[in-house]
Amino acid sequence: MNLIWHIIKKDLRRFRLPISIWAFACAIVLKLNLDSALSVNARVPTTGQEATVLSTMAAFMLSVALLGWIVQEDSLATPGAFWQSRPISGGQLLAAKSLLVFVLLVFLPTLVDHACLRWQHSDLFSSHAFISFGSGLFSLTAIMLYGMAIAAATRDNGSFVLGAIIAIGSYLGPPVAGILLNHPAAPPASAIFTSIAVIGTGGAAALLNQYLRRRTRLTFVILGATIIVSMLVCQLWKLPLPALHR
Amino acid sequence: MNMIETHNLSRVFGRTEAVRDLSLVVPKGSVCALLGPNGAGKSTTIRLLLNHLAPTSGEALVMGVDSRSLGPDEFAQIGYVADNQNLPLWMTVRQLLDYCRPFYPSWDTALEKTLLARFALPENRKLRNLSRGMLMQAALVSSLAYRPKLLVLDEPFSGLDPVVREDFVRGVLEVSTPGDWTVLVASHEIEEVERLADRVALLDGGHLRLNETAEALQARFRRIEVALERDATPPQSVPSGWLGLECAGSLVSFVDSRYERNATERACRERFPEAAVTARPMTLREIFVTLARAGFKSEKGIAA
Repeated sequence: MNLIWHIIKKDLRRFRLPISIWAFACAIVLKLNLDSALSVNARVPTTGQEATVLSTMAAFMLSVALLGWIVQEDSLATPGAFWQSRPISGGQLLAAKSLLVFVLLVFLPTLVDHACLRWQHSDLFSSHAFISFGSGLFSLTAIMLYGMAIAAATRDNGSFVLGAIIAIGSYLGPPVAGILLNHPAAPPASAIFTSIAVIGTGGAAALLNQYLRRRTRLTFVILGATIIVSMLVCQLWKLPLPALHR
Repeated sequence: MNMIETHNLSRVFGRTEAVRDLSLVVPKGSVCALLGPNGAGKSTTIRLLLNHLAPTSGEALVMGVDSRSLGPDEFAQIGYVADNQNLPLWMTVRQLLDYCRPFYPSWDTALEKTLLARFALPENRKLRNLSRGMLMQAALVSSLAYRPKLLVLDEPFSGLDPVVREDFVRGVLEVSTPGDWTVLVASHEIEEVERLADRVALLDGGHLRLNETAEALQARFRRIEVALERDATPPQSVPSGWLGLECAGSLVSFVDSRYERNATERACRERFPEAAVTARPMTLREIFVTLARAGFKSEKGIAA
Protein backbone atom coordinates (compact mmCIF):
# COMPACT_ATOMS: atom_id res chain seq x y z
CA MET A 1 0.00 0.00 0.00
CA ASN A 2 2.91 2.33 0.78
CA LEU A 3 4.32 1.82 -2.70
CA ILE A 4 0.91 2.47 -4.27
CA TRP A 5 0.65 5.74 -2.33
CA HIS A 6 4.25 6.50 -3.38
CA ILE A 7 3.26 6.19 -7.06
CA ILE A 8 0.11 8.30 -6.50
CA LYS A 9 2.17 11.06 -4.83
CA LYS A 10 4.55 11.04 -7.79
CA ASP A 11 1.64 11.47 -10.23
CA LEU A 12 0.08 14.24 -8.13
CA ARG A 13 3.39 16.10 -8.11
CA ARG A 14 3.81 15.56 -11.85
CA PHE A 15 0.34 16.85 -12.75
CA ARG A 16 -0.22 19.48 -10.09
CA LEU A 17 -0.61 22.27 -12.65
CA PRO A 18 -3.13 20.53 -14.97
CA ILE A 19 -5.01 19.25 -11.92
CA SER A 20 -5.28 22.82 -10.56
CA ILE A 21 -6.55 24.11 -13.92
CA TRP A 22 -9.03 21.24 -14.15
CA ALA A 23 -10.28 21.87 -10.58
CA PHE A 24 -10.75 25.56 -11.44
CA ALA A 25 -12.75 24.63 -14.56
CA CYS A 26 -14.89 22.23 -12.50
CA ALA A 27 -15.54 24.98 -9.94
CA ILE A 28 -16.74 27.31 -12.70
CA VAL A 29 -19.06 24.62 -14.07
CA LEU A 30 -20.46 24.02 -10.60
CA LYS A 31 -21.00 27.72 -10.00
CA LEU A 32 -22.83 28.10 -13.35
CA ASN A 33 -24.94 25.00 -12.66
CA LEU A 34 -25.90 26.33 -9.25
CA ASP A 35 -26.81 29.70 -10.72
CA SER A 36 -28.86 27.96 -13.38
CA ALA A 37 -30.67 25.82 -10.78
CA LEU A 38 -31.34 28.92 -8.69
CA SER A 39 -32.82 30.78 -11.61
CA VAL A 40 -35.11 27.80 -12.42
CA ASN A 41 -36.23 27.66 -8.79
CA ALA A 42 -36.92 31.36 -8.76
CA ARG A 43 -38.75 31.10 -12.09
CA VAL A 44 -36.36 33.62 -13.55
CA PRO A 45 -35.39 33.19 -17.24
CA THR A 46 -32.14 31.18 -17.51
CA THR A 47 -29.13 33.17 -18.57
CA GLY A 48 -25.59 32.10 -19.44
CA GLN A 49 -26.54 28.67 -20.82
CA GLU A 50 -23.87 28.93 -23.50
CA ALA A 51 -21.24 29.63 -20.87
CA THR A 52 -22.42 26.60 -18.91
CA VAL A 53 -22.22 24.36 -21.98
CA LEU A 54 -18.79 25.69 -22.96
CA SER A 55 -17.29 25.39 -19.48
CA THR A 56 -18.79 21.90 -19.05
CA MET A 57 -17.21 20.83 -22.34
CA ALA A 58 -13.87 22.38 -21.33
CA ALA A 59 -13.95 20.60 -17.97
CA PHE A 60 -14.87 17.32 -19.68
CA MET A 61 -12.06 17.65 -22.21
CA LEU A 62 -9.59 18.48 -19.45
CA SER A 63 -10.80 15.41 -17.53
CA VAL A 64 -10.18 13.23 -20.59
CA ALA A 65 -6.72 14.72 -21.16
CA LEU A 66 -5.85 14.35 -17.48
CA LEU A 67 -6.95 10.72 -17.50
CA GLY A 68 -4.69 10.08 -20.51
CA TRP A 69 -1.72 11.85 -18.94
CA ILE A 70 -2.03 10.04 -15.62
CA VAL A 71 -2.23 6.60 -17.23
CA GLN A 72 0.42 7.25 -19.87
CA GLU A 73 2.89 8.75 -17.41
CA ASP A 74 3.87 5.11 -16.82
CA SER A 75 3.26 3.79 -20.31
CA LEU A 76 2.24 0.20 -20.92
CA ALA A 77 2.20 0.31 -24.69
CA THR A 78 5.77 1.65 -25.03
CA PRO A 79 8.38 -1.09 -24.67
CA GLY A 80 11.10 -0.02 -22.25
CA ALA A 81 9.14 2.54 -20.24
CA PHE A 82 10.94 3.56 -17.05
CA TRP A 83 8.79 1.50 -14.67
CA GLN A 84 9.21 -1.68 -16.73
CA SER A 85 12.79 -2.20 -15.59
CA ARG A 86 12.05 -1.27 -11.97
CA PRO A 87 10.55 -3.48 -9.26
CA ILE A 88 7.03 -2.20 -9.87
CA SER A 89 4.34 -4.74 -10.71
CA GLY A 90 1.51 -4.13 -13.15
CA GLY A 91 -0.91 -4.74 -10.28
CA GLN A 92 0.64 -2.00 -8.13
CA LEU A 93 0.59 0.40 -11.04
CA LEU A 94 -3.03 -0.45 -11.87
CA ALA A 95 -4.05 0.04 -8.24
CA ALA A 96 -2.29 3.41 -8.03
CA LYS A 97 -3.66 4.75 -11.31
CA SER A 98 -7.21 3.47 -10.73
CA LEU A 99 -7.33 4.88 -7.23
CA LEU A 100 -6.07 8.29 -8.32
CA VAL A 101 -8.33 8.52 -11.37
CA PHE A 102 -11.37 7.25 -9.45
CA VAL A 103 -10.98 9.60 -6.49
CA LEU A 104 -9.87 12.63 -8.48
CA LEU A 105 -11.91 12.42 -11.66
CA VAL A 106 -14.95 10.39 -10.60
CA PHE A 107 -15.75 10.34 -6.91
CA LEU A 108 -14.90 13.88 -5.80
CA PRO A 109 -16.55 15.69 -8.77
CA THR A 110 -19.69 13.53 -8.52
CA LEU A 111 -19.88 14.02 -4.77
CA VAL A 112 -19.37 17.77 -4.87
CA ASP A 113 -21.71 18.23 -7.83
CA HIS A 114 -24.52 16.20 -6.30
CA ALA A 115 -24.05 17.58 -2.80
CA CYS A 116 -24.25 21.19 -4.01
CA LEU A 117 -27.21 20.65 -6.32
CA ARG A 118 -29.15 18.56 -3.79
CA TRP A 119 -28.38 21.05 -1.08
CA GLN A 120 -29.79 23.71 -3.37
CA HIS A 121 -32.94 21.61 -3.75
CA SER A 122 -32.94 20.93 0.01
CA ASP A 123 -33.08 17.14 -0.49
CA LEU A 124 -29.48 16.31 0.31
CA PHE A 125 -30.28 13.15 2.29
CA SER A 126 -33.31 11.94 0.39
CA SER A 127 -33.36 8.45 -1.16
CA HIS A 128 -33.71 10.10 -4.56
CA ALA A 129 -30.48 12.00 -3.94
CA PHE A 130 -28.62 8.79 -3.01
CA ILE A 131 -29.95 6.95 -6.08
CA SER A 132 -28.99 9.86 -8.29
CA PHE A 133 -25.51 9.99 -6.72
CA GLY A 134 -25.10 6.20 -7.07
CA SER A 135 -26.16 6.12 -10.70
CA GLY A 136 -23.89 9.07 -11.53
CA LEU A 137 -20.98 7.32 -9.83
CA PHE A 138 -21.76 4.06 -11.61
CA SER A 139 -21.87 5.66 -15.07
CA LEU A 140 -18.73 7.71 -14.59
CA THR A 141 -16.81 4.72 -13.15
CA ALA A 142 -17.75 2.60 -16.17
CA ILE A 143 -16.66 5.35 -18.56
CA MET A 144 -13.48 5.89 -16.54
CA LEU A 145 -12.56 2.19 -16.74
CA TYR A 146 -13.07 2.19 -20.48
CA GLY A 147 -11.14 5.44 -20.92
CA MET A 148 -8.27 4.16 -18.78
CA ALA A 149 -8.09 1.02 -20.91
CA ILE A 150 -7.84 3.10 -24.10
CA ALA A 151 -5.12 5.24 -22.49
CA ALA A 152 -3.24 2.14 -21.32
CA ALA A 153 -3.27 0.63 -24.81
CA THR A 154 -2.12 3.78 -26.64
CA ARG A 155 1.35 5.31 -26.66
CA ASP A 156 0.65 9.03 -26.46
CA ASN A 157 -2.11 11.49 -25.64
CA GLY A 158 -2.88 12.13 -29.32
CA SER A 159 -3.54 8.44 -29.97
CA PHE A 160 -5.56 8.26 -26.77
CA VAL A 161 -7.79 11.19 -27.74
CA LEU A 162 -8.26 9.68 -31.21
CA GLY A 163 -9.20 6.32 -29.63
CA ALA A 164 -11.62 8.06 -27.26
CA ILE A 165 -13.27 9.96 -30.14
CA ILE A 166 -13.65 6.69 -32.12
CA ALA A 167 -15.17 4.95 -29.09
CA ILE A 168 -17.58 7.82 -28.33
CA GLY A 169 -18.46 8.13 -32.03
CA SER A 170 -19.13 4.40 -32.32
CA TYR A 171 -21.28 4.39 -29.20
CA LEU A 172 -23.25 7.54 -29.86
CA GLY A 173 -23.27 7.27 -33.66
CA PRO A 174 -26.46 5.18 -34.11
CA PRO A 175 -28.64 7.24 -31.71
CA VAL A 176 -27.43 10.50 -33.22
CA ALA A 177 -28.08 9.14 -36.71
CA GLY A 178 -31.58 8.19 -35.56
CA ILE A 179 -32.23 11.71 -34.32
CA LEU A 180 -30.88 13.20 -37.53
CA LEU A 181 -33.10 10.88 -39.57
CA ASN A 182 -36.11 11.91 -37.47
CA HIS A 183 -36.38 8.57 -35.72
CA PRO A 184 -35.56 9.72 -32.21
CA ALA A 185 -36.37 6.46 -30.48
CA ALA A 186 -34.65 6.61 -27.10
CA PRO A 187 -33.89 3.24 -25.53
CA PRO A 188 -35.41 2.52 -22.11
CA ALA A 189 -33.40 3.31 -18.98
CA SER A 190 -32.74 -0.38 -18.30
CA ALA A 191 -31.13 -0.79 -21.75
CA ILE A 192 -28.92 2.25 -21.16
CA PHE A 193 -27.97 0.92 -17.70
CA THR A 194 -27.08 -2.51 -19.13
CA SER A 195 -25.12 -0.93 -21.93
CA ILE A 196 -23.08 1.17 -19.47
CA ALA A 197 -22.51 -1.92 -17.34
CA VAL A 198 -21.14 -3.69 -20.44
CA ILE A 199 -18.79 -0.75 -21.08
CA GLY A 200 -17.55 -0.84 -17.48
CA THR A 201 -17.05 -4.61 -17.48
CA GLY A 202 -15.31 -4.61 -20.87
CA GLY A 203 -13.14 -1.67 -19.81
CA ALA A 204 -12.15 -3.43 -16.59
CA ALA A 205 -11.29 -6.64 -18.48
CA ALA A 206 -9.19 -4.70 -21.00
CA LEU A 207 -7.49 -2.78 -18.20
CA LEU A 208 -6.61 -5.96 -16.29
CA ASN A 209 -5.28 -7.58 -19.46
CA GLN A 210 -3.14 -4.56 -20.31
CA TYR A 211 -1.69 -4.02 -16.84
CA LEU A 212 -1.17 -7.64 -15.88
CA ARG A 213 -0.26 -9.19 -19.23
CA ARG A 214 0.62 -6.21 -21.45
CA ARG A 215 -1.05 -7.72 -24.52
CA THR A 216 -2.00 -4.55 -26.34
CA ARG A 217 -3.64 -6.20 -29.36
CA LEU A 218 -5.92 -8.25 -27.13
CA THR A 219 -6.79 -5.07 -25.20
CA PHE A 220 -7.92 -3.41 -28.44
CA VAL A 221 -9.95 -6.50 -29.36
CA ILE A 222 -11.69 -6.42 -25.96
CA LEU A 223 -12.35 -2.67 -26.29
CA GLY A 224 -13.81 -3.10 -29.79
CA ALA A 225 -15.96 -6.05 -28.75
CA THR A 226 -17.21 -4.07 -25.73
CA ILE A 227 -18.43 -1.20 -27.91
CA ILE A 228 -20.20 -3.59 -30.30
CA VAL A 229 -21.93 -5.47 -27.46
CA SER A 230 -22.97 -2.26 -25.69
CA MET A 231 -24.39 -0.89 -28.97
CA LEU A 232 -26.33 -4.12 -29.52
CA VAL A 233 -27.67 -3.94 -25.98
CA CYS A 234 -28.99 -0.46 -26.75
CA GLN A 235 -30.70 -1.73 -29.90
CA LEU A 236 -32.08 -5.04 -28.53
CA TRP A 237 -35.14 -3.42 -26.98
CA LYS A 238 -36.37 -2.56 -30.46
CA LEU A 239 -36.57 -6.23 -31.44
CA PRO A 240 -39.95 -7.91 -30.88
CA LEU A 241 -38.42 -10.44 -28.49
CA PRO A 242 -41.73 -11.59 -26.92
CA ALA A 243 -43.04 -12.31 -30.42
CA LEU A 244 -39.89 -14.28 -31.27
CA HIS A 245 -40.24 -16.19 -28.01
CA ARG A 246 -43.79 -17.17 -28.86
CA MET B 1 25.00 -21.06 -12.18
CA ASN B 2 24.19 -18.92 -15.23
CA MET B 3 22.76 -15.45 -14.67
CA ILE B 4 21.53 -15.26 -18.26
CA GLU B 5 20.67 -18.18 -20.48
CA THR B 6 18.85 -18.07 -23.79
CA HIS B 7 17.70 -21.02 -25.86
CA ASN B 8 17.04 -20.48 -29.57
CA LEU B 9 15.75 -17.00 -28.82
CA SER B 10 14.28 -15.25 -31.86
CA ARG B 11 12.47 -12.00 -32.45
CA VAL B 12 10.93 -10.96 -35.74
CA PHE B 13 9.73 -7.43 -36.59
CA GLY B 14 7.56 -7.73 -39.69
CA ARG B 15 9.89 -9.36 -42.22
CA THR B 16 13.06 -8.51 -40.31
CA GLU B 17 14.61 -11.10 -38.05
CA ALA B 18 16.33 -8.96 -35.42
CA VAL B 19 17.50 -11.94 -33.35
CA ARG B 20 17.83 -15.48 -34.74
CA ASP B 21 18.15 -18.67 -32.71
CA LEU B 22 20.29 -17.00 -30.08
CA SER B 23 21.69 -19.37 -27.49
CA LEU B 24 23.72 -17.22 -25.13
CA VAL B 25 25.11 -18.04 -21.70
CA VAL B 26 26.40 -15.48 -19.21
CA PRO B 27 27.78 -17.22 -16.10
CA LYS B 28 27.30 -15.67 -12.67
CA GLY B 29 30.13 -13.34 -11.70
CA SER B 30 31.23 -12.59 -15.24
CA VAL B 31 31.31 -9.28 -17.09
CA CYS B 32 30.11 -10.06 -20.60
CA ALA B 33 30.53 -7.67 -23.51
CA LEU B 34 27.91 -7.98 -26.21
CA LEU B 35 29.61 -6.67 -29.32
CA GLY B 36 28.43 -6.31 -32.88
CA PRO B 37 27.92 -3.80 -35.66
CA ASN B 38 24.84 -1.57 -35.91
CA GLY B 39 21.69 -3.62 -36.38
CA ALA B 40 23.34 -6.76 -35.05
CA GLY B 41 20.50 -7.27 -32.57
CA LYS B 42 22.28 -6.24 -29.34
CA SER B 43 19.57 -3.88 -28.04
CA THR B 44 16.78 -6.23 -29.11
CA THR B 45 18.48 -9.05 -27.20
CA ILE B 46 18.64 -6.90 -24.08
CA ARG B 47 15.01 -5.85 -24.45
CA LEU B 48 14.02 -9.48 -24.80
CA LEU B 49 16.00 -10.37 -21.69
CA LEU B 50 14.29 -7.64 -19.64
CA ASN B 51 10.80 -8.48 -20.89
CA HIS B 52 10.44 -5.19 -22.72
CA LEU B 53 9.70 -7.30 -25.79
CA ALA B 54 8.18 -10.75 -26.12
CA PRO B 55 10.22 -13.32 -28.04
CA THR B 56 8.76 -14.66 -31.27
CA SER B 57 10.18 -18.06 -30.35
CA GLY B 58 12.64 -19.59 -27.92
CA GLU B 59 13.12 -18.60 -24.31
CA ALA B 60 15.35 -16.49 -22.10
CA LEU B 61 16.12 -17.21 -18.47
CA VAL B 62 17.33 -14.32 -16.34
CA MET B 63 18.47 -15.26 -12.82
CA GLY B 64 16.78 -18.61 -13.42
CA VAL B 65 13.40 -17.01 -14.21
CA ASP B 66 11.73 -16.96 -17.62
CA SER B 67 12.07 -13.40 -18.94
CA ARG B 68 8.29 -13.24 -19.57
CA SER B 69 7.71 -13.87 -15.85
CA LEU B 70 10.22 -11.36 -14.43
CA GLY B 71 8.60 -9.53 -11.55
CA PRO B 72 9.45 -7.03 -8.81
CA ASP B 73 11.55 -9.60 -6.89
CA GLU B 74 13.88 -10.03 -9.86
CA PHE B 75 13.90 -6.38 -10.93
CA ALA B 76 14.93 -5.41 -7.39
CA GLN B 77 18.22 -7.16 -8.21
CA ILE B 78 18.65 -5.96 -11.79
CA GLY B 79 20.18 -2.62 -12.77
CA TYR B 80 19.50 -1.28 -16.26
CA VAL B 81 21.06 1.71 -17.95
CA ALA B 82 20.48 2.30 -21.64
CA ASP B 83 21.39 4.90 -24.19
CA ASN B 84 17.71 5.30 -25.23
CA GLN B 85 16.17 4.71 -21.80
CA ASN B 86 12.90 6.46 -20.97
CA LEU B 87 13.61 8.46 -17.83
CA PRO B 88 11.10 10.75 -16.08
CA LEU B 89 12.73 13.91 -17.39
CA TRP B 90 10.45 16.20 -15.36
CA MET B 91 12.08 15.01 -12.13
CA THR B 92 15.20 16.44 -10.56
CA VAL B 93 18.09 14.08 -9.78
CA ARG B 94 17.05 14.13 -6.12
CA GLN B 95 13.41 13.39 -6.98
CA LEU B 96 14.48 10.48 -9.21
CA LEU B 97 16.48 8.90 -6.41
CA ASP B 98 13.74 9.60 -3.83
CA TYR B 99 11.22 7.99 -6.15
CA CYS B 100 13.33 4.88 -6.81
CA ARG B 101 14.53 4.27 -3.24
CA PRO B 102 11.37 2.80 -1.64
CA PHE B 103 11.12 0.13 -4.34
CA TYR B 104 14.48 -1.42 -3.38
CA PRO B 105 14.90 -3.14 0.00
CA SER B 106 18.68 -3.24 -0.53
CA TRP B 107 19.06 0.48 -1.35
CA ASP B 108 22.37 1.74 0.11
CA THR B 109 22.04 5.43 0.97
CA ALA B 110 25.77 5.74 1.72
CA LEU B 111 26.60 4.35 -1.72
CA GLU B 112 24.08 6.72 -3.29
CA LYS B 113 25.88 9.66 -1.66
CA THR B 114 29.28 8.34 -2.73
CA LEU B 115 28.17 7.96 -6.34
CA LEU B 116 26.52 11.39 -6.38
CA ALA B 117 29.73 12.91 -5.08
CA ARG B 118 31.87 10.96 -7.60
CA PHE B 119 29.80 12.16 -10.55
CA ALA B 120 29.27 15.66 -9.07
CA LEU B 121 25.64 15.59 -10.16
CA PRO B 122 23.53 18.71 -9.47
CA GLU B 123 20.80 17.18 -7.30
CA ASN B 124 18.23 19.91 -7.82
CA ARG B 125 18.48 20.15 -11.58
CA LYS B 126 15.77 18.55 -13.68
CA LEU B 127 16.84 15.55 -15.74
CA ARG B 128 15.70 17.30 -18.92
CA ASN B 129 18.24 20.05 -18.24
CA LEU B 130 21.18 17.69 -17.73
CA SER B 131 23.81 17.04 -20.35
CA ARG B 132 23.81 13.63 -21.98
CA GLY B 133 26.71 12.44 -19.83
CA MET B 134 25.06 13.63 -16.61
CA LEU B 135 21.80 11.97 -17.59
CA MET B 136 23.56 8.63 -18.05
CA GLN B 137 25.35 9.13 -14.75
CA ALA B 138 22.05 9.88 -12.97
CA ALA B 139 20.58 6.71 -14.48
CA LEU B 140 23.66 4.81 -13.35
CA VAL B 141 23.37 6.09 -9.77
CA SER B 142 19.71 5.06 -9.67
CA SER B 143 20.73 1.61 -10.94
CA LEU B 144 23.79 1.00 -8.78
CA ALA B 145 22.68 2.33 -5.40
CA TYR B 146 20.91 -0.92 -4.51
CA ARG B 147 23.92 -3.05 -5.46
CA PRO B 148 22.20 -5.08 -8.18
CA LYS B 149 23.26 -8.66 -8.76
CA LEU B 150 22.87 -8.19 -12.51
CA LEU B 151 23.74 -4.95 -14.27
CA VAL B 152 22.62 -4.54 -17.88
CA LEU B 153 24.16 -1.67 -19.84
CA ASP B 154 22.96 -0.94 -23.37
CA GLU B 155 25.33 1.38 -25.27
CA PRO B 156 26.17 3.28 -22.07
CA PHE B 157 29.12 5.16 -23.58
CA SER B 158 27.34 6.35 -26.71
CA GLY B 159 27.84 10.09 -27.20
CA LEU B 160 29.85 10.58 -24.01
CA ASP B 161 33.13 12.46 -23.95
CA PRO B 162 36.29 10.61 -22.78
CA VAL B 163 36.24 12.17 -19.29
CA VAL B 164 32.64 11.15 -18.65
CA ARG B 165 33.36 7.67 -20.03
CA GLU B 166 36.24 7.34 -17.63
CA ASP B 167 34.04 8.45 -14.71
CA PHE B 168 31.32 6.05 -15.82
CA VAL B 169 33.67 3.05 -15.96
CA ARG B 170 35.22 4.00 -12.63
CA GLY B 171 31.76 4.30 -11.09
CA VAL B 172 30.90 0.80 -12.26
CA LEU B 173 34.24 -0.61 -11.12
CA GLU B 174 33.89 1.09 -7.74
CA VAL B 175 30.69 -0.75 -6.94
CA SER B 176 31.72 -4.10 -8.37
CA THR B 177 33.01 -6.89 -6.20
CA PRO B 178 34.64 -9.54 -8.41
CA GLY B 179 32.54 -12.69 -8.57
CA ASP B 180 29.65 -11.09 -6.71
CA TRP B 181 27.81 -9.49 -9.58
CA THR B 182 27.24 -10.05 -13.26
CA VAL B 183 27.37 -7.38 -15.94
CA LEU B 184 26.09 -7.55 -19.51
CA VAL B 185 27.27 -4.58 -21.52
CA ALA B 186 26.37 -3.94 -25.13
CA SER B 187 28.57 -1.31 -26.70
CA HIS B 188 30.55 -0.10 -29.67
CA GLU B 189 33.15 1.49 -27.41
CA ILE B 190 35.46 -1.48 -27.30
CA GLU B 191 38.28 0.22 -25.35
CA GLU B 192 35.95 0.93 -22.40
CA VAL B 193 34.36 -2.50 -22.65
CA GLU B 194 37.79 -4.14 -22.74
CA ARG B 195 38.53 -2.72 -19.29
CA LEU B 196 35.35 -4.18 -17.87
CA ALA B 197 34.71 -7.42 -19.73
CA ASP B 198 36.10 -10.85 -19.03
CA ARG B 199 33.79 -12.49 -21.56
CA VAL B 200 32.88 -11.55 -25.12
CA ALA B 201 29.78 -12.39 -27.15
CA LEU B 202 29.74 -11.32 -30.76
CA LEU B 203 26.45 -10.77 -32.56
CA ASP B 204 25.99 -10.25 -36.27
CA GLY B 205 22.71 -10.11 -38.15
CA GLY B 206 20.94 -11.48 -35.09
CA HIS B 207 23.27 -14.51 -34.97
CA LEU B 208 25.66 -15.24 -32.15
CA ARG B 209 29.09 -15.68 -33.74
CA LEU B 210 31.22 -15.95 -30.62
CA ASN B 211 30.74 -16.40 -26.90
CA GLU B 212 33.89 -17.06 -24.93
CA THR B 213 36.14 -15.53 -22.32
CA ALA B 214 38.17 -12.50 -23.38
CA GLU B 215 41.29 -14.37 -22.28
CA ALA B 216 40.56 -17.36 -24.54
CA LEU B 217 39.65 -15.06 -27.42
CA GLN B 218 42.85 -13.05 -27.11
CA ALA B 219 44.86 -16.26 -26.72
CA ARG B 220 43.69 -17.69 -30.04
CA PHE B 221 43.90 -14.49 -32.12
CA ARG B 222 47.35 -13.34 -33.27
CA ARG B 223 48.52 -10.97 -35.93
CA ILE B 224 51.09 -12.98 -37.85
CA GLU B 225 53.81 -11.40 -39.94
CA VAL B 226 55.93 -13.49 -42.25
CA ALA B 227 59.12 -11.85 -43.55
CA LEU B 228 60.42 -13.33 -46.81
CA GLU B 229 63.72 -12.80 -48.62
CA ARG B 230 62.00 -12.03 -51.92
CA ASP B 231 58.65 -10.50 -52.93
CA ALA B 232 55.74 -12.55 -51.62
CA THR B 233 52.99 -14.12 -53.70
CA PRO B 234 49.75 -15.21 -52.04
CA PRO B 235 49.69 -18.96 -51.42
CA GLN B 236 47.21 -21.15 -53.32
CA SER B 237 45.38 -22.27 -50.21
CA VAL B 238 45.38 -21.08 -46.61
CA PRO B 239 43.81 -22.53 -43.44
CA SER B 240 40.23 -21.32 -42.82
CA GLY B 241 41.33 -19.60 -39.63
CA TRP B 242 43.61 -17.15 -41.47
CA LEU B 243 41.81 -13.85 -41.97
CA GLY B 244 42.70 -10.76 -43.98
CA LEU B 245 45.81 -12.12 -45.67
CA GLU B 246 47.84 -9.33 -47.28
CA CYS B 247 51.11 -9.34 -49.20
CA ALA B 248 53.18 -6.15 -49.26
CA GLY B 249 56.60 -6.52 -50.83
CA SER B 250 58.43 -9.24 -48.98
CA LEU B 251 56.02 -9.12 -46.01
CA VAL B 252 52.94 -11.31 -45.62
CA SER B 253 50.54 -10.49 -42.81
CA PHE B 254 47.29 -11.99 -41.65
CA VAL B 255 45.30 -12.73 -38.50
CA ASP B 256 45.21 -16.29 -37.30
CA SER B 257 41.94 -16.90 -35.46
CA ARG B 258 43.10 -20.35 -34.25
CA TYR B 259 46.59 -19.50 -33.17
CA GLU B 260 48.67 -22.25 -31.68
CA ARG B 261 52.37 -21.51 -31.82
CA ASN B 262 53.70 -24.77 -33.26
CA ALA B 263 50.78 -25.40 -35.61
CA THR B 264 50.79 -21.83 -36.94
CA GLU B 265 54.56 -21.81 -37.51
CA ARG B 266 54.38 -25.18 -39.24
CA ALA B 267 51.56 -23.96 -41.51
CA CYS B 268 53.57 -20.83 -42.33
CA ARG B 269 56.74 -22.78 -43.15
CA GLU B 270 54.78 -25.13 -45.42
CA ARG B 271 53.69 -22.14 -47.48
CA PHE B 272 56.69 -19.84 -46.96
CA PRO B 273 59.84 -21.92 -46.43
CA GLU B 274 62.85 -20.16 -44.88
CA ALA B 275 60.66 -17.25 -43.68
CA ALA B 276 60.80 -15.50 -40.30
CA VAL B 277 57.46 -15.70 -38.52
CA THR B 278 56.42 -13.30 -35.76
CA ALA B 279 53.14 -13.42 -33.83
CA ARG B 280 51.75 -10.36 -32.03
CA PRO B 281 48.89 -10.42 -29.47
CA MET B 282 45.79 -8.43 -30.39
CA THR B 283 43.46 -6.17 -28.45
CA LEU B 284 39.70 -6.81 -28.46
CA ARG B 285 39.31 -3.81 -30.73
CA GLU B 286 41.76 -5.24 -33.28
CA ILE B 287 40.01 -8.59 -33.15
CA PHE B 288 36.61 -6.93 -33.61
CA VAL B 289 37.84 -4.87 -36.57
CA THR B 290 39.42 -7.94 -38.17
CA LEU B 291 36.20 -9.89 -37.81
CA ALA B 292 34.13 -6.97 -39.10
CA ARG B 293 36.39 -6.68 -42.15
CA ALA B 294 36.14 -10.42 -42.71
CA GLY B 295 32.38 -9.76 -42.75
CA PHE B 296 31.66 -12.02 -39.75
CA LYS B 297 30.65 -14.46 -42.43
CA SER B 298 33.29 -17.12 -42.14
CA GLU B 299 31.76 -18.79 -39.11
CA LYS B 300 34.15 -21.74 -39.38
CA GLY B 301 37.05 -19.33 -39.51
CA ILE B 302 36.29 -17.35 -36.38
CA ALA B 303 34.81 -20.03 -34.14
CA ALA B 304 37.14 -21.57 -31.61
